[in-house]
Amino acid sequence: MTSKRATKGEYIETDTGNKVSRRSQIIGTTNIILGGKTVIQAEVIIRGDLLRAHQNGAEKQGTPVAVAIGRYCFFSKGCELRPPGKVYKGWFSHYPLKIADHVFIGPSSVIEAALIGSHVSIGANCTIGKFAIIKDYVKVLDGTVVPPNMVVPSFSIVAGRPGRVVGEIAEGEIEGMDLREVYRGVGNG
Amino acid sequence: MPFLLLSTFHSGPISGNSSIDLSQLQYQQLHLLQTTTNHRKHVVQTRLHDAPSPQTAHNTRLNPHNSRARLPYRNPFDRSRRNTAIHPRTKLISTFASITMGSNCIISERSIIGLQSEPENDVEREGLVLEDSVVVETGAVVEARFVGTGTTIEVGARIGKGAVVGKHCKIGPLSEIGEGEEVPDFTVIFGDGMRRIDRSGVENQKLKTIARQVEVLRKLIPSNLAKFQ
Repeated sequence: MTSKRATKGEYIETDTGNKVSRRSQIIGTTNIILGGKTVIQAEVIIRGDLLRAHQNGAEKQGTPVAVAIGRYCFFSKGCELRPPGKVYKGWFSHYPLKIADHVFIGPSSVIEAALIGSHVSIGANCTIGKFAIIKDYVKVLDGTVVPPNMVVPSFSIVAGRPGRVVGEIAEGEIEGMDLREVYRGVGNG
Repeated sequence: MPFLLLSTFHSGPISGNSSIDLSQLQYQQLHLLQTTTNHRKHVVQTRLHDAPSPQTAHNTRLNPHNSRARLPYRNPFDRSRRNTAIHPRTKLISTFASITMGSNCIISERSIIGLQSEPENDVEREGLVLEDSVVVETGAVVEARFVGTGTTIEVGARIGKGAVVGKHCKIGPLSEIGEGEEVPDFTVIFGDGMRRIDRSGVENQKLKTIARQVEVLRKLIPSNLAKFQ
């Protein structure tokens, strides 16, 4: 499909250096925090509209956050970020999805985690279950289904359906998980 | 906002750019003409065949297949049946057979519901029935003939043409159910196609959770009905 806008280049660059595709679907933008230098490719869905529900009477405090993303994150084509929801004390509510720095999400993956640590690399077609917690320096291989509420320890490699820890990240591999170079490679040029 | 517009032309309030109240559409046939237009807007038109002629939403191509089938509906104002949330990024395909949805269903974005090819026998031709409290998560593809109450179809699962899924099942992420397969009640499909029967007896609690979730979605997602009438 062609439109006049597309000729200006695929990405919109924000003041803080985020590169956001014009073809991404970001819903509830006011509830999403981008740390800066984050790349959002085409057809990515970010569900910022799934906010924390407040019980009757209790007024919300401060600015509501549904999705918080750190610096140098990379969201590949067609992936989706969706804050998880559950019933707590008789109330259904969504809870914020927090993503730290240097996180890579592969194409068509669906993320419903509660927390993703720094330097995490998630492959293509993965499903990260509701309220999963992924700590720092984790690699999730392609097609993995991380079950809901799973806690993945640091420096592990996760694969399979359902996802299991299948290995460990070696000392020397850590440098490859920095996304600064990847960020620089994306652009309108 | 690149939202898909849903519009209806009967008295039924299926519209707004997000959460949709199907209160008056229960047991009516939803005939959704689903077309992609330019990338900014994605327009779906809902037409009830008893309704007066539709006001054509701009950019929508009407699908000629849809002009056949006229199905009477029961109880157009049955207020006890309602509260289904359909995300506007859902594709509902009723080109080949009808879709009937119960109350308290949650249909998430990117899911595809409805037959995608010509039905091969009369049973398939009767269309797709989702009972009450069916949750279809992101990216799931449902071509089943029947999905029972309280069944959850998780992220990216595919249910083949003519399949029958029982009540209170859970179809795990990325799992597949073949064409014409019958899945008994309380089945949990997980991992790489492994199955078990879950008789833990928490169905009622799960139904309550879903009802609450629909309530929350109703609050979170604005449904600007007046805009589409």
